[in-house]
Amino acid sequence: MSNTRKWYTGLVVIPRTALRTAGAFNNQGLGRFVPFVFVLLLGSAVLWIINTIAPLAPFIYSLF
Amino acid sequence: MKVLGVSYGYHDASACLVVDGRVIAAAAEERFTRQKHDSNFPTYAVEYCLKEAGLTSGDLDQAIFNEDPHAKFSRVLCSSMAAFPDSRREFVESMKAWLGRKLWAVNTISARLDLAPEKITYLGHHYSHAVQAFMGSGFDESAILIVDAVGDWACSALYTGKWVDGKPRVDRLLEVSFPNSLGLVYSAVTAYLGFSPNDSECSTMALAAFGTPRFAPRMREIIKETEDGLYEVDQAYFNFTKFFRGPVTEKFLEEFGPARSYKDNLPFDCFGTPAGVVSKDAQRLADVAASTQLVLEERVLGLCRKLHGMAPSVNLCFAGGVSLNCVSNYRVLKDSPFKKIYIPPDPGDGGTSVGTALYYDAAEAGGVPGRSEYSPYQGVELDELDAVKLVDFIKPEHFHGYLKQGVELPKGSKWRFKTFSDRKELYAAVADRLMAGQIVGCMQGRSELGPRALGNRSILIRPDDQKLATRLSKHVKERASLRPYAFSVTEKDAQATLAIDPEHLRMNRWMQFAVPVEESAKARLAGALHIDGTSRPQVCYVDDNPAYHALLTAFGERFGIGALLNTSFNPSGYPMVTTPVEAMVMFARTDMDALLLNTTVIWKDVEHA
Repeated sequence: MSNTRKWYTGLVVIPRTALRTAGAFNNQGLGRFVPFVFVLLLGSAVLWIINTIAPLAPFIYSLF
Repeated sequence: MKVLGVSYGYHDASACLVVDGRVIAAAAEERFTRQKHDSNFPTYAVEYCLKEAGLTSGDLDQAIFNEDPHAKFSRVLCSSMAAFPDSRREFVESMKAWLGRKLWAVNTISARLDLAPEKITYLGHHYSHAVQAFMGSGFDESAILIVDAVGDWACSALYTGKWVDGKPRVDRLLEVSFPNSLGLVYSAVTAYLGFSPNDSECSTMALAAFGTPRFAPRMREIIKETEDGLYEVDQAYFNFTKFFRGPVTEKFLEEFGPARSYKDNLPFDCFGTPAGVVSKDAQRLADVAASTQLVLEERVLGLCRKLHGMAPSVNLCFAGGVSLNCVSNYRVLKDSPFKKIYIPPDPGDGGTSVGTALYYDAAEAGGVPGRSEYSPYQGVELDELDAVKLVDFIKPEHFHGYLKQGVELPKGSKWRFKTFSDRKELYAAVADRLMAGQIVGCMQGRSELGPRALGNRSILIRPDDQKLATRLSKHVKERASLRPYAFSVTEKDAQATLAIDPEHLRMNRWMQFAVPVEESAKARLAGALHIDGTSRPQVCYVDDNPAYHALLTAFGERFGIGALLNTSFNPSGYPMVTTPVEAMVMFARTDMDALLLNTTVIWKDVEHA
C-alpha cells in the first residue's frame, strides 16, 4: 500500500470526520446535538465553497 | 518502525520522530519560527525530525496526533452553548476556528505530510499525557496523574500504567471533567494578577512566596474538595466559557479586590524587598497568589492520595501543564504516598508528541520499559564555525540602535573569538570568565526539549553574586525582580547543596522541583535562591550531559562547588535561541560579556578601544 496521499483523499476524509464527530457526540451522551452539528457543518461547507470560488464572495456577502 | 508524533492546535506545537523504540529527534515549532508557544502545524519541526533521520514523510509507518479532535469539538460546542447567549461571541469565534481548521486535523496532517490518512491516528489529549508520562519513566508499573488546563473533556485524570507481554498498557481509572479545572483556575488567577496566562504562571508561583495565604479558606471553598477525594470548581468565580469577559467574574473581584494591570509595579525582589516599598494593594495580590498556590498544592495532593488508594504503587508518573509548577511538585515529592516520581522533561503539550510516538511504536512493535527512556537533548545542533566568521565584520556600534534599554557599550570596543581544539582548555577559559563575574551565553550540542534550559541553551553566571544576577535580570533577560533564578550542580556536589533525601537527587535532573537549599550552601548560591530559601536545581550527571558537566566541574575547581546560576538563553518574550546567529544577535544587543558556541568563545574586548 502506498503511503502517500491520493488526490481524492480530502473527499474521503471530510465525510469520515463528520461521521466520527457525530460518533463522539453520541459517545458522550450528547446525541441530541448531532442534527445541530450537521447544520453547522453544512453551513461551514457552504461558506468554504463561497470562499473557494473567490469572485462569488462579494456578491454573496453583500446580501447580508 | 518509524513513527512521527505531532502536537499542535492549542499551544506549544511540536514533532518527534521515533525509530524502533528510540527517540531520534524532537523539537518545538517555536524554536524555528521564533514565535513563543507557537500553536501552528509544526512544519519546521517535522522537517527537522525527518532530516535528522535521513527520512522523508513517505518512509513513515505512522503519524500520531495528541488529541481527539471530534471529542474536543463536542466539549467546545457544548460548553459554549451552555452559557448561551452570554457566550455568543465565544461561540462564534470558537466555531470559526473549529469548523474552519481544528476539526479537520487528520486531513491537515495528511495534506502537510503527504501521507495517506490510514497512516494517521490520534489519542485523546489526557491519554496522550498519560502515555507521555509513562513511556519515558522506565518504570515497569506506575500510577499516573495528569493535571492540565483542559483536554477533550478531562481536566485531571488518573491512570495506571504497566508493561504486559512486552507492550505498554495504560488504563484510565477516573477523570475530573471540564469545567472543573485546576489548570484553568491557575491561569485565570495568573491573568487576574496581570501576568500573561499560558505563559507566565511561573510569575504567579514566584509571587506566592511573598504572600501569606490569608485567602486560602475562601479559595478552599471555591476549589472545593469533594467527598470522593476529588475537587469541584465554583463556576461563579471564573469565565472559562465566556473568556471575552475577562478571566474572573465580578464576584471574584468583589471578594479578592481589583485585578492588576500588567503596567502596575510589583516591587517584590527575590533578593530581599526594601522595607516600605510594598503597597497594601501589591501585598494583597501576593496573598491571592499564595492562597491559590497553597490550595492548588492541596488539591494535587488530594488527587495523589486518591490515585494511591486506587493504584497503590510506589511509582508516580506526573504530567500535564500543572506539573510545570515546581513548588507543587516538591509537595508531591515530600508529602504524597509515592516514593519515586517521574515528570517528563517537557510535561506540557509539547512533550506529548514524544510520548505518543513512543507509545504507538511499543504498542505495535513491542518494547521494554528502559528502552523508551529519553534525554531532553533532542533538538537542533548546529555548527558555529561559519557563523563566527561574522565576528570579523561586526562592530559593536552596528548594534547601537538595537541595544536593550539600559545597555551601554564603550565606543571602539571590538568582538574577538577563539576556537579551542582542546575541550579542557575551553572549559577552563570559560570557567575563568565566570569566576571573574562575567555573564556568559552558552550554546552547545542539541537544544533542549521543553521550557527548561539545561546547559545547552543557557545563560550562566557565578551563583553567589546577587548584584550580577540583578544585572542579568535588568540588562540581559529583562526579567521581573520577583522571579528567582535556578542553578545547575554536579551530582558530586548536589548532596552537600540540597536539603533533600539522597534518593531524590536523580529526580532533580531537569529543574522540576523547588527544593530547600542547605544552610551551609546558601551564601554560595545566594544569586539563585528565592526569598524562601528554595531553588529549582538541575542535578547534572556526567552521562546526561558530558560537556556541561565538564564546564560545571571546571568551575567547581575554582569556586569550591560545581554549581552555576543557569537561566534560559532567550530574549524576553521569545523562545530559546536555536542558531548561532540568533545567539550572537542576543549577545550583541544585551549586556552579556562572553558567548560559548560549541568550541568557540566570543567576547567583547573592551580593552581594545
